[in-house]
Amino acid sequence: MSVSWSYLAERFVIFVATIFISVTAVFFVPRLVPGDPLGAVLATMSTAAGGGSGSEELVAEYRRRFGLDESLFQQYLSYIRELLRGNLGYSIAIFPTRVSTLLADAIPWTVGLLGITTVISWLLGSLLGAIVGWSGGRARFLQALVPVALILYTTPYYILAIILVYGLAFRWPIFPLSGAYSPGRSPEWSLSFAGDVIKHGALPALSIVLISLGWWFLSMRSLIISEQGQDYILWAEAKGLPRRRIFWAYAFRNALLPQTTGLALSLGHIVGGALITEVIFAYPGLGYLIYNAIKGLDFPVIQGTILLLACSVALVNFILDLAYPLIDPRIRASRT
Amino acid sequence: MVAVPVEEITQTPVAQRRGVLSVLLSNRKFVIGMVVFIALGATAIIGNLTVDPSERRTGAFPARQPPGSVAILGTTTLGQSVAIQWAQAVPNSMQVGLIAATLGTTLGALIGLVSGYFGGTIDAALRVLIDVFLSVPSLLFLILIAALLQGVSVLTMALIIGLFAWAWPARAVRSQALSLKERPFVRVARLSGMGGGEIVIRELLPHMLTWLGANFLNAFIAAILAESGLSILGLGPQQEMTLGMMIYWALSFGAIFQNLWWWWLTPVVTLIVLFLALYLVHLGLDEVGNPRLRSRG
Amino acid sequence: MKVKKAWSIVALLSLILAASIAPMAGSAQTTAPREETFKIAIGARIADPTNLNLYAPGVSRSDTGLHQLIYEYFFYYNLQTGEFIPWLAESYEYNDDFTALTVKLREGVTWSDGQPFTPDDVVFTYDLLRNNPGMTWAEEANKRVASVEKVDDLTVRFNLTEPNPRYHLNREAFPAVGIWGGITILPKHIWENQPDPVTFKNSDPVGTGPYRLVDASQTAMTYERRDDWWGTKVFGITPGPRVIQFVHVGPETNIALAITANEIDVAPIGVLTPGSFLEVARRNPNVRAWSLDAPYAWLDPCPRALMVQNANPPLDKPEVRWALSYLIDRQAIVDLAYEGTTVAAWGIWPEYDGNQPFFDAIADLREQYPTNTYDPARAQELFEQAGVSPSDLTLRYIVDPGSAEQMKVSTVIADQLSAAGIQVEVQPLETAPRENALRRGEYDIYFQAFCPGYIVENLELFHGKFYVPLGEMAPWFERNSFRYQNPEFDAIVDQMFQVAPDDQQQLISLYQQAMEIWFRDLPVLPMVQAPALVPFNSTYWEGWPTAENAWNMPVSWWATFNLVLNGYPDPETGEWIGGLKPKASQS
Repeated sequence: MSVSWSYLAERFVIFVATIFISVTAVFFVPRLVPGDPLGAVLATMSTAAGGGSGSEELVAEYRRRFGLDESLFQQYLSYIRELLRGNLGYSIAIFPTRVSTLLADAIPWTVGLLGITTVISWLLGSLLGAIVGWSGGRARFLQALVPVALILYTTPYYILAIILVYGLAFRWPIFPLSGAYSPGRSPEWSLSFAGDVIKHGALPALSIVLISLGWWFLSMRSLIISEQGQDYILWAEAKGLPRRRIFWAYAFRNALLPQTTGLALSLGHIVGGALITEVIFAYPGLGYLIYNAIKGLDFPVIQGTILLLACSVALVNFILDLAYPLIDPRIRASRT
Repeated sequence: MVAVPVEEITQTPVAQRRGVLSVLLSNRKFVIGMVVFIALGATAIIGNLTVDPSERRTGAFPARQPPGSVAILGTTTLGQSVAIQWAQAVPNSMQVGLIAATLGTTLGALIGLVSGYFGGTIDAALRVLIDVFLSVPSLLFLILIAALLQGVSVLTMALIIGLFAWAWPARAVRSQALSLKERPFVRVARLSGMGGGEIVIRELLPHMLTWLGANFLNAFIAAILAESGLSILGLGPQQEMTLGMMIYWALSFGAIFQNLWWWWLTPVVTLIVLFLALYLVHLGLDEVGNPRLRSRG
Repeated sequence: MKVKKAWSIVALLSLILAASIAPMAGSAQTTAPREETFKIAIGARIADPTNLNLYAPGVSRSDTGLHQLIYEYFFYYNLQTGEFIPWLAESYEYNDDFTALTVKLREGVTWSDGQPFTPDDVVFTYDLLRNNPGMTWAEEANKRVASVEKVDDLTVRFNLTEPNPRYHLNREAFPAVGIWGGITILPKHIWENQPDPVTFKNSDPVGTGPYRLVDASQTAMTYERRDDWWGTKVFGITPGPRVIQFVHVGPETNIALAITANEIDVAPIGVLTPGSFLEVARRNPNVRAWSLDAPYAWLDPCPRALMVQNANPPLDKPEVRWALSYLIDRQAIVDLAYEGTTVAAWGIWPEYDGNQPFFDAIADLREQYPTNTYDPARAQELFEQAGVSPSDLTLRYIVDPGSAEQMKVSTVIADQLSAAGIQVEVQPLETAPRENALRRGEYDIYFQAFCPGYIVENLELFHGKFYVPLGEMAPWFERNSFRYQNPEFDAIVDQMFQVAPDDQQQLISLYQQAMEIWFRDLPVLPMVQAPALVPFNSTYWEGWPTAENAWNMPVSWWATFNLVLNGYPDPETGEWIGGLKPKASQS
């Protein structure tokens, strides 16, 4: 084990700090905004409870139920304590449903959609980009992919989503307009349901795959182009190794590392972009959940969703940080 | 998707930058991108100046007209001209980009320089902060803040986005400052009695201007992206017109189903063209700064 | 890296991609043939389909079908015809000083688990609300009702806190519904065992209604007809649809397409914008709304008016409020924001036949005070009289960004006011902060529905008893958050509440007196009648209420949908009226 302990310690500190700052920010930001939005929500709730005329006693009743009658610091402590127990509290908009229940319903859709599309676009984009970059100007047909990738890369996810909705769901209704499965069905383990899910997921997936594909394509292509000028490639060429072998064994392999780093770094953006895509397709994942929570100012749900996403992005980054030294020997000593 | 690769900061000392402009102007990508960008902005601004205020009102035109002689880009269901809205939206969106990018880049450069040059505990703390901001999906916090503020203006929106755009430049500038501060010319400056702040500004900063320029462009793109994303979620500046808000209104008034394609397609196409133009400019800058790309690409 | 392995992964994933892109044959699952199913679109996904406790805050009773199909009410008020229809109850009677109401329940009513429906359930429900102030609706019921007693096995008495001849019309305190929904009687034998009735989810609801819930998901609530419904035994009727489904097919575009494709029979108010409705009707001739020509929509009972903050100078001057009224062109609002689907309103009452005698009685007042006239020159005069320059006015206009109607209207109104030189700051606020700001009076103007639309109850909204100073929470938006105060007016309204509803002559003369003051002061600016644009697809079902066959209110989201579905016995003759039937050509 030559992995530097100080490197590991540093990454761990950053991981913990990320989570701590996210947790704290999510708690304090809503309370710092002028106009007492939490109080407003409770007032609304008690109004709903009064059928048109909320009263101060009712507001107090809900303050108590949501623990808002304590001091800010006390609230923060009990918030942290409950978090450690995995308790995210109740949704305000659909009291008494628990936030964790709502998150558990939404997670599989987002993880499924995002996981599959990210892997597909990363692999496909890297591969195509590498081939196009390696072939240089020799294959005109392949070079035509460059401007296409450029346009795809510069288009936001949700813009493509709107165009796809119009084209493939409205104008030529090949795919359903929205949702994750046919209305009236309940999630179940069956082949017909799986087919239904794939059919509904196709358009959102397509919009994410196409856009991120553009980016992985372009970055891999430029990586391969710069690898081509490296001494070791020239050396391998001089030695008379077949180009095919140089490509796979040297250039592609070496370019894969920065490409993986890129994946880790852009994770946050991928998550953000995908959230809006979910909203456009009314796809019942975390993005749609948080969108609806925002509309109803359902703070426990907003907080829970943001926390979950921030922590999982931090966790994935941490795992990738730990994995780098195993992939790249240069990091074992130090990392800038 | 916002993260245009952070190339190594090209170290172009001030003296060698004299020919940069002419090199840039001979770069096809840079020129095409710049021309399209300026043309977009200029058309919108000129259009805005020539519009009579009464034509902005609801009902100024017959409702739901396709592009044609009544209104060049058609009209909305409220009888507003899409072209007039567009002319308001483009400069506003660009304004968001400009303010957010300026704020983010300046903040980033400052934090990066301070962190890299002074080192020690400040550096340790700032580095953790930078890494934290890099690993948190900033859109989430933008959503949270915009939702809490309840009705943002173009300016507040730009400021919020800018406040989340400093981490990338800070990280790059920091590592650059780290390597520059051991160079002979910095040592000379230090020996000649310059203070820390003065060295940072007079000796280190000039070496990073080109790179900061490229970063500014990235941040500009990212800010417009964030603006349109938030707007589509309904968190945009509802009283002002931006490209994102145009899409939001079109979608929420059922433009797709009612087949008023000109309404939503206008901002959509504009955004695509705008991003493409800016990215071409970025590529141009990259090629000029990194000649290897130019010869091979 | 092993190249072969990498390739096989790529190949596998490409396969998945190809599979996911290839369109698959649709396999929509239905529990009954389409022609035996009645499908109702709903505008939002059901966040938690397991929570069917309609006394828990935030649980939608309209979208889930709870108060239409599971629970039933003592009486149903048909606003369209003015009939008060006995259902779970047979009759009601006040004591002499209107401090108690005795209700005779119908014999033979049973809960869906076979238990009889008794006065014990009624007593239990009111006790439950008293013991749990956190339950929705608890407050108004507790305020109005002192106690509920069982008189005998079919009779129950409501002891009121104060004399109230209109108590039987108060849906928030008495289980009789006209508008939307009301207090709901719960089965004692189910609820008495729940430790916390606010958090009890009631996932398998037991009611007296004609249907039972067979499947609940976030996108659909599926109900099946009950063969053992008490109504079948007592009235001898069976509801038409074997299955009723409340379905969320997605955002507006999806719903529009689904109605066009005959996949949906009816969509509630506010789901389709006027433009989309017209497009649907153009594509599918079987789809229509209330009337075949403009304004197409049925009139919702809550007309729209622009609330003006009476406590903010110079809006405290009647001349300034009248000036603002003259600056607003209602026809432009109708044409642009509503695309012709409504009409301008002179007041805050729906133009139902039952209200017509009241309107006729104030015909001369309406002429004297032209509340919906657009006349900028007259506005200018009034501003000068009041010593106010419009260019010095800055109005804070709050809107609900979630309401397309409000957003459109606000654009038009803001444009019209700013044309006169007034600065209008439109501020969109989401639900919670909006309610906060509105009730605290932190606005200059707000576009609001005036509910419940009954003559006397809508006048009460302007009563000084609801007045609170700026910064404190007014009871509700239209419940005097605009802070109007006039003791003379209050006295007339108080008198109206002491008149029995059947003494129309007395009420009309009081209405005249009240309106004299109301028109003069103009505390809010009447805008337009509220359009309830409810598209109905007649491909599979007929009997839906329309302008030509106006036997009921065309509502799928109100508790009264139960009577649209089944029809009801004429309160006078007992003859059966209406009901949804399978389309003749289909069966």
